[in-house]
Amino acid sequence: MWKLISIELYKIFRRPRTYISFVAIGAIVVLILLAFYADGENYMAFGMQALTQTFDVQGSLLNGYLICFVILQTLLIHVPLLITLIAGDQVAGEANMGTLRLLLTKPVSRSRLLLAKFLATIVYTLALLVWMAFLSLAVSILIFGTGDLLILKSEEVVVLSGNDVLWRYAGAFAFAAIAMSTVAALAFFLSIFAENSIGPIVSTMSVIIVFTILSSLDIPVFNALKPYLFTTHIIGWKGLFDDPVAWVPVCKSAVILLVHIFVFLLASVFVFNKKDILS
Amino acid sequence: MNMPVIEVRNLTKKFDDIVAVDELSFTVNAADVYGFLGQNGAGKSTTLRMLLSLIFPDHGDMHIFGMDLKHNRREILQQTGAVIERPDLYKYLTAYETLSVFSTMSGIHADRKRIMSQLELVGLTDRAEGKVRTFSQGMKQRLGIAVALIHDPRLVILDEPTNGLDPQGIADMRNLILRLSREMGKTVLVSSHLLSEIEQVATRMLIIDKGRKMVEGSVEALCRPALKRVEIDLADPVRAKEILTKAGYDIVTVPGNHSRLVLGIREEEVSVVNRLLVQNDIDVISIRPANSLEEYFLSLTAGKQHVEAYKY
Repeated sequence: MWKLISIELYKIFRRPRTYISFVAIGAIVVLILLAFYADGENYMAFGMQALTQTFDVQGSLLNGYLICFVILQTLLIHVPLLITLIAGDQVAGEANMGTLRLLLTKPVSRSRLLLAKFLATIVYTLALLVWMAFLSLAVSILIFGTGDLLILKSEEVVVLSGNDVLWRYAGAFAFAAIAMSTVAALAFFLSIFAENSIGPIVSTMSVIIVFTILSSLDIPVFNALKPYLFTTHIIGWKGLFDDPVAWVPVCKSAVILLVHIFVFLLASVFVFNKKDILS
Repeated sequence: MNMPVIEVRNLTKKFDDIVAVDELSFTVNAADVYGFLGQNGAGKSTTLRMLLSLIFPDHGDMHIFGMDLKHNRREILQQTGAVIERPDLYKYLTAYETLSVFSTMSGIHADRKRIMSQLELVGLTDRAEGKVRTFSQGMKQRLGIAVALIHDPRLVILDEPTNGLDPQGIADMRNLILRLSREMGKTVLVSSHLLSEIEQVATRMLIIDKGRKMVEGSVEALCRPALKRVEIDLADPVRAKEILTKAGYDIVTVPGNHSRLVLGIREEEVSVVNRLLVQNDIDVISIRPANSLEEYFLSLTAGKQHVEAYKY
């Protein structure tokens, strides 16, 4: 099994397109860091206007932790697209290239092959997140240092003391790993039905966009739907920045996402094992 | 060594309402080069894909190396190599890397020496480090065959291996198939829509049309130009077949017509065969020379294929 996974990883990381995502994330994070470096104080002053009228804020709040939070908030919504690029290509791309039929005439069971492909996709997803964590957290801290993290929410302001933040980021990235794996599992599942990767990529993104809109609209009919949409749970990492952390909803979301991954994977194996390979 | 390598019984596959393969039965013996002939869309690829369990049949049995494909897929594939349709490979890998990846997938560890000897077999030694995307159609086809052979399989399945090749490539492919069979003792199942292709490499052949078996027999009997295809309608074809086989005639049965036997014999032998049957108390309803196999096949593959056949 390990050999199969390493072959799949080899195939993923031998292709230039794999690195597009790494470059894209790198570019965005570097841009954000540069912007903060050049103009961070003004940005902070503007954002804090409402607060400074009522509160007395001492010292600078511009630090690596805050920047990481800003990056996560803006970036995590767009990372699914980068995940889908690879995950949606796993089976459909092979069908499109014509290599799927060769692959399946080798003495490897379809389930094992699919599992190897899935695990390789997850490794890619995790690698992307580690890369993102490194840039957004480690590099930010290196440049801007650490400090207390102040988060503005719609109805409250949360201040987390500097030595109480790092573990929350560890949790947030772990949660993001589960959330992004869910996206990968969906794209992977849709990939089985298609004979080129555009279909699964577009349909996965469509599902995410539609679900996200449903999740964010505050209309009673949609509110009833929300707990059943995985996109509602994908943003569950933010719960880790409440004080104290509301563990129950965070864990519940994580479990719901894990169930999604499992179901998508199971469905993939089921469908793939019965599929006539005509490509 | 005449144990059947492939035994197919009543194989049927429908796609929606279209019957792609219809109650097809045939046997491939060890060390045969078995030609699988039919026009495009006759069901050749579907059958070959079913033999590799890429497509699942609606019903019918397939036994390969005496094992049921349904239950022993892995064991069978371990000893089978195949190139199905276009030889598509990973464009971003080199020839060497391609062979390395697929040897691992075939469950063996191929060292450098083994990979290089495979590349030598197909004449790609000097392109070992070349990326597949830079390869010509003929080179891809040859690399595809190297991939199919890397784990030294007993059975090699080649689907239209000469498609898209230039005359030199076609000749090379023909020699390679003969080498596989004669020097390396492999059983080869090769499909084509050109009779001339099959005629030159195969020992036995099967012609299918619209998913059904038309004729099956030894290429020698079917393709000898002096021979006529003679159709005999009989009351007891089973016994007649026995008698004629014993007398050394190569028999081709026509499926779907259970009272008919088809023989490849010289015209003057027709009366000899007739007498032999009558002496054995078998009622001969009719006996008549039909056209040659080539004419027969061309009548099956009318239209476009004619033009293509001329090209080569």
